[in-house]
Amino acid sequence: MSLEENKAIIRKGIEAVNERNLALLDELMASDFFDHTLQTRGLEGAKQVYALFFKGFPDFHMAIEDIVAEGDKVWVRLKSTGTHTGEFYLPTPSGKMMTLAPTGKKITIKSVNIRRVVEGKIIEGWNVTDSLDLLKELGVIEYKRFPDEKVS
Amino acid sequence: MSKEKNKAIVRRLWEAENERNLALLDELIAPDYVDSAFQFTGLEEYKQMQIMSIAAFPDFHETIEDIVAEGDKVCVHFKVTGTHTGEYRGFPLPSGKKITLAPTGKKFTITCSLIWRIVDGKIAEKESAVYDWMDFHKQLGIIEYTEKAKKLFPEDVS
Repeated sequence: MSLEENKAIIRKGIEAVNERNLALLDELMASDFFDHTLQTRGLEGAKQVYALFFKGFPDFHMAIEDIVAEGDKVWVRLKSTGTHTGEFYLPTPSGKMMTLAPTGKKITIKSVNIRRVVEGKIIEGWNVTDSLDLLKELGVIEYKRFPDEKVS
Repeated sequence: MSKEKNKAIVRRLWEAENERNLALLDELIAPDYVDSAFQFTGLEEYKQMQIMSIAAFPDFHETIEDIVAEGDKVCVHFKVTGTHTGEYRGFPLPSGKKITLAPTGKKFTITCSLIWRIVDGKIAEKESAVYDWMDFHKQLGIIEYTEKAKKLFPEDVS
């Protein structure tokens, strides 16, 4: 497969998510897709995470800001946005799920997804995700106050 | 420049920073370097950022986990480890105000992904940077769970 063909597969995957056509992911991703960052295996798990976002953020949208390919790797830099108008289930640090009632807040998640594409299928991935804005907007985290710090 | 040459330049930058060899940055980074990720320009400003990082985290170490190149771009996925034993100058609060954070003594590990642009054998631009800031700020203890979060998952919040 050429670099452009591999990029096209990644672009189709993003479009499938934006169009809520998760069935299309079956054609693009290996059923035993491995997420090295979350240490989870399986396409079904990945689809479930998207389904949680669709419920919490019905207007959830991923925009491709950059895409780079070399060998069998494709890097895609994404800016995902959404409005929290539905119930959102967020995994807690201990791995339980907590339910967040709609806050109406707009959120932005910046991420870089690295994917390995072999014979036309996405087989594994690594992610760097900046979820600070998401958790701040949803009211889950806050900065400590710094009354004693020098302002530089 | 070939992709391999461009990658070699970025790998040397990592070595220079890990060895605190800031003089080598003159060879690797263009004088009119543009940092689109952190919104500044100039090699000197880049060095100043390095000096600030070394002051705040004297033992910081960056390990490349993956590197790919296409055209004039080099993408690096890496991990930074360190200990916050020095003053962290210019820490931006959400309000935009910058403060100096006194040493917390906390150890941290963060993952990051940068995209660089190489022109004529020099690093010309950092086009983008994605850091797991949430994880970093949590490890330094500068963010905490809200009352709402404590009610939602009390078992995780001490």
